[in-house]
Amino acid sequence: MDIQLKRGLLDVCVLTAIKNEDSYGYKIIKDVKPYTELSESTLYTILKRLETAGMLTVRTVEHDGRLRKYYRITDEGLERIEEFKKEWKEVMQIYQFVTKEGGCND
Amino acid sequence: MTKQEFLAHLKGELCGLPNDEIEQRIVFYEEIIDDKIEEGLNEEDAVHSLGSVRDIVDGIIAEIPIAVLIKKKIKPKRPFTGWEIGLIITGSPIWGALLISLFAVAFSLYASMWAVLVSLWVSAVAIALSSVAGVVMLFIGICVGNIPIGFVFLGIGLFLGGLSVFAYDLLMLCTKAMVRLTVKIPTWVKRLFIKKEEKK
Repeated sequence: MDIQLKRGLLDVCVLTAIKNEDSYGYKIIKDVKPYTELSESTLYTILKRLETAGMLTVRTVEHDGRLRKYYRITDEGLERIEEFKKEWKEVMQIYQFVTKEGGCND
Repeated sequence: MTKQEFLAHLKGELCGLPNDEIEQRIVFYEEIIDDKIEEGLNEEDAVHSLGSVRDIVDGIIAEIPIAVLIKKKIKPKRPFTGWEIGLIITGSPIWGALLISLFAVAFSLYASMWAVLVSLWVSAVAIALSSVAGVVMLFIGICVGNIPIGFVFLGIGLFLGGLSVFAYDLLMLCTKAMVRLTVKIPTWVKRLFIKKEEKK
């Protein structure tokens, strides 16, 4: 898959993983895993990028005597998910045209 | 490998990066390992599931802009004194020229590798066309009544045809290798900055 496309898709996957409740690194990987491959180093980069873009915020919480970072989606992040849904409606229409048997008749 | 060994190894491999960047990545990986252990994996398996440090570092290097690495590399540990600045400026005709020639040599080496490959491809196409000429020569031989010579040319043509198929496979392999090399060059260049820092 095209790298830019994959990057955009993973961004939305990560945002979706934290959409309903705050989450942490390992849980995000586990939640996304059934749908697509997401390595730890890729996740780190995505989280950094989304944080810089203001789509999520980070807070450190004490958990069992150690620190764990929790990620919370912002309004911008939620907006990005909605944008993605709209964009993909269009992409799916193009996909249906491309995969339509026989193509178009001249 | 234990968690501490893994983190120390990763830290060592990343030491050409800005310090806060290294620290944040170490904290991130430590948290993931701890979470995996908490879920029931033993320490060694938790570390093993992250993959090799080498692969992780390659992934990190590929993402970090080369400008960040250069900035970190050339950033002096203390401010330059007046005479040092003077020396840098007066010496610039020498080190500047050396630097430019170094880049020029590296670039010409790379360009000549592609040039060799292109010329080999052209030769392979020429060989393939010669095999077609062999078939044409057979018909000319038949037309002018010299059938044995026609078959000699056909034989040569078929040999060259076989050779061109062999050359195609070989050149495809070489071209793919060159493309792989080209993709890896940015990582190698970035690794140069990281490795040099590590030796200090």
